[in-house]
Amino acid sequence: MLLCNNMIAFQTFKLDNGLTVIINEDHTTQLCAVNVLYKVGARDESIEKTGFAHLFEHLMFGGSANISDFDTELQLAGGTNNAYTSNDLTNYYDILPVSNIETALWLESDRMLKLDFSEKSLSVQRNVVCEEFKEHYINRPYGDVWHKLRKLVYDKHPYQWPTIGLELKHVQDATLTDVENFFYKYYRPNNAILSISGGISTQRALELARKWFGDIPAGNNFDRNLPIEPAQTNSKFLAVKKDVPVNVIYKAWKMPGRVESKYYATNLLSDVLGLGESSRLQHALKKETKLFTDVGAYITGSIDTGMFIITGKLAEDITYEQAEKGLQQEIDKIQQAIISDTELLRVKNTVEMDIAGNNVGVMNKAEILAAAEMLSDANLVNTEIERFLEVPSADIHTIAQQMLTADKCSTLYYGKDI
Amino acid sequence: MITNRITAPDLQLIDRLDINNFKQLKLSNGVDVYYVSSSEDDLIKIELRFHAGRWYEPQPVISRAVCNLMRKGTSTKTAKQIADITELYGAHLDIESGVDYTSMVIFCLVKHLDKIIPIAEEILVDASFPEDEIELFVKKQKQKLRINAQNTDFHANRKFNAVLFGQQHPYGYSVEESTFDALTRNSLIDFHRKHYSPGAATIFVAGKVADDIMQLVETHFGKYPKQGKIIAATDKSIHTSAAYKHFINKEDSVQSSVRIGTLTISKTHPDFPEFNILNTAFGAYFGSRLMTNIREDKGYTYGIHSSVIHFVHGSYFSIETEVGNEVCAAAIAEVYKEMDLIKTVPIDDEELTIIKNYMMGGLLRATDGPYNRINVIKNMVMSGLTTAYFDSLANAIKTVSSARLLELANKYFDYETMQEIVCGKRD
Repeated sequence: MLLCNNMIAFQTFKLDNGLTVIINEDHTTQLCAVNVLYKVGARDESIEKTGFAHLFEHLMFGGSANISDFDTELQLAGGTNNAYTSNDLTNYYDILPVSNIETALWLESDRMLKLDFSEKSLSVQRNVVCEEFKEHYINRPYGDVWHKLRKLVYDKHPYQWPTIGLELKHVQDATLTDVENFFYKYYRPNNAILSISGGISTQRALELARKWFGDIPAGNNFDRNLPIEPAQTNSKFLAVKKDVPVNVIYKAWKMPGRVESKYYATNLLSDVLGLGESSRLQHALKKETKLFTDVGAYITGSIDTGMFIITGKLAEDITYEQAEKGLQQEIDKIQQAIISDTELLRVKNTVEMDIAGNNVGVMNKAEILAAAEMLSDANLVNTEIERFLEVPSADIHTIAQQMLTADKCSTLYYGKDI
Repeated sequence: MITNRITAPDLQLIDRLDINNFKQLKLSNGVDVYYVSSSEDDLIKIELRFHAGRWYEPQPVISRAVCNLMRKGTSTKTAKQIADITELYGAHLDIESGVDYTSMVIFCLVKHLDKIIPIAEEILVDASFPEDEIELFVKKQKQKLRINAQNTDFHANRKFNAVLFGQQHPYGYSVEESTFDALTRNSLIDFHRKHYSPGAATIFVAGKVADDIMQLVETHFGKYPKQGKIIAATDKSIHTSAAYKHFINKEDSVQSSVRIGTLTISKTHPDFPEFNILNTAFGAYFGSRLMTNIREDKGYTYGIHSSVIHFVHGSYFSIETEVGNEVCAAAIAEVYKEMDLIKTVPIDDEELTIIKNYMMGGLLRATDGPYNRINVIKNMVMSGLTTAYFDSLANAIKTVSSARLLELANKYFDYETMQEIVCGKRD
């Protein structure tokens, strides 16, 4: 193994009710992290009720079977917490002194057992989320780019909306019945992963996990049956005219999902093209031809069909046509000739550093272990580096040739000069 | 056995903080190095701090410009060559700007440090500020400014700084597009040469610190003569605005950015450790008065926070929030109502216990692990403080009474004299 010292030692268990428990002992700290991941995200919403998984995340703080105020109890224990929702998952974490770990387990298990919040709590959180929607997606320039882009790229898959939801109205219309149904379908132990990192023995942590979570009834198993996103065969285009100071362009291609073997080479391809100042796009188009003031490439890394994105801000007086031509030249180049050994080494070293940097601290560790377990296996946190390092440049080349074609591309122009 | 969920599990109080767990040495030139060593990972982070923030500028934005452009070429390397080397090893080599200090931060795998540290040294002593890079920087900054100008929070923040410190003050001036036009290559080089010798740095290291690491630090940063205290060039007196209420109209906004605040005591003031607790109670954690009322009860906002910001030559208290235009006036009224309340009714024992326990947990988190702890050490050292200061914070948390907090609220929360900025659309 290359990264012995950066590997995370852990053990995985499954309780009778289906809850997966992952424990990482870290005796270098007085803190511990308790992370609960629910396998539910915006992709599980219906198109008439978008933004619901995220709204629900807010409601999880509104009171549970035996606890009226989650935050107060955790703060009393010297802890802090937060949560986030993505298109694929909803994640909650608590960080507190390990001596008070039971408080976090009590809190997390009680809200997994049964929510108990009022009509008022729902109505307040609907407002809070609407203000969040306004703050991040309406009241700032380019705030709705992802609404437009997702809709353009995805024909069938629920990735066509962002986690905040398609419109304010969907959030405003959420009812208590919606909330209840959602909870008993998705917020069950058999659809969750509990991970713990901190200065506690594995045996003791498992004992406590059993004590607090063991008696929560399992939910019914369900099939997701998400629509499969069809492969794209014709280019798509959308121009959005907005009063913003700078014209931007997005080009997106559908890419393999997070657990597919081609994910690794595709990820590296995006780094070769657009990560860092020495990357191809940044050097050629920002520095040399000066067509863009910012340009880059990245992937969304979602579980189902993801997006491979090239995006940039156009320099003043540069037309979309000129910008597109510049981008196309770089795409042509990476399709024509195999990347150099130095480029390959650069992107692999970057991934190695990213992974090493991510494996630090109880919070990061608890979080990435749970996320990896949701994908397939918590041990991915230790083994994925090998998957990246074994990618040959030929694979990156093949993906560039097969994926980055005009007929599979969705292009968004967004700016004042449309 | 059925688990008892009705009563909360027993709690243990935090009594041990690892703040003293760091070491110190001097390079052969006398430059101080503080470090926190851990064997848990293969990473190393080295931060060199310089007295090169806005406070020291002979002209506006020069500090930020130097930070941005320092990596864009030396007499022997182009920007691309510098990026190629650091990125080849997956290393981070960042220059961070600030109002008083700036930092060069090296963060990489231990095994690659020997390739990165020579580049860091070269940038510090030989940055060349090529004209074409300056031009690109200026273009990009102007573009960024135009985008920022569409945000209500941008206007509110800059008005807030301007009214607190004055338009001529380094903490208070506003950057316009024309500010960038005054930058010249020579002025950048002068500023860089004056402020960025490794001999002027204070160095902070965290991660897997072994002898060979310190040897590299010595070799590359220990040979430049140590520089004495740098004095800022011009008079920098603070001119706070006399008008207290300011409104900036932004017709197309759906939310208003609100900033309320005033200059306040420095972190070395004897009241500060307890004032810090009052601030937490009022608006600096999720269970605070402001969040509980204005977000969790009224649903007016996604977030509302208060904070105390310390610069070397000035400190301020501020309340910040983004609220829907239609509830903006109501939200501001609630802020003042909360201020009156905390000045008239003592915080009860239950709430005080929550705040104390939460804040002790906060100190524990702030000092947990090498990368957090070195940041605390850094802020302490740069403010000329010792770990005794940290002890005083912890002690205040343990001992403060609600009577004392009430007294401080009356002493420092005078909203009649606070600046109030709103940028948005009047409802």
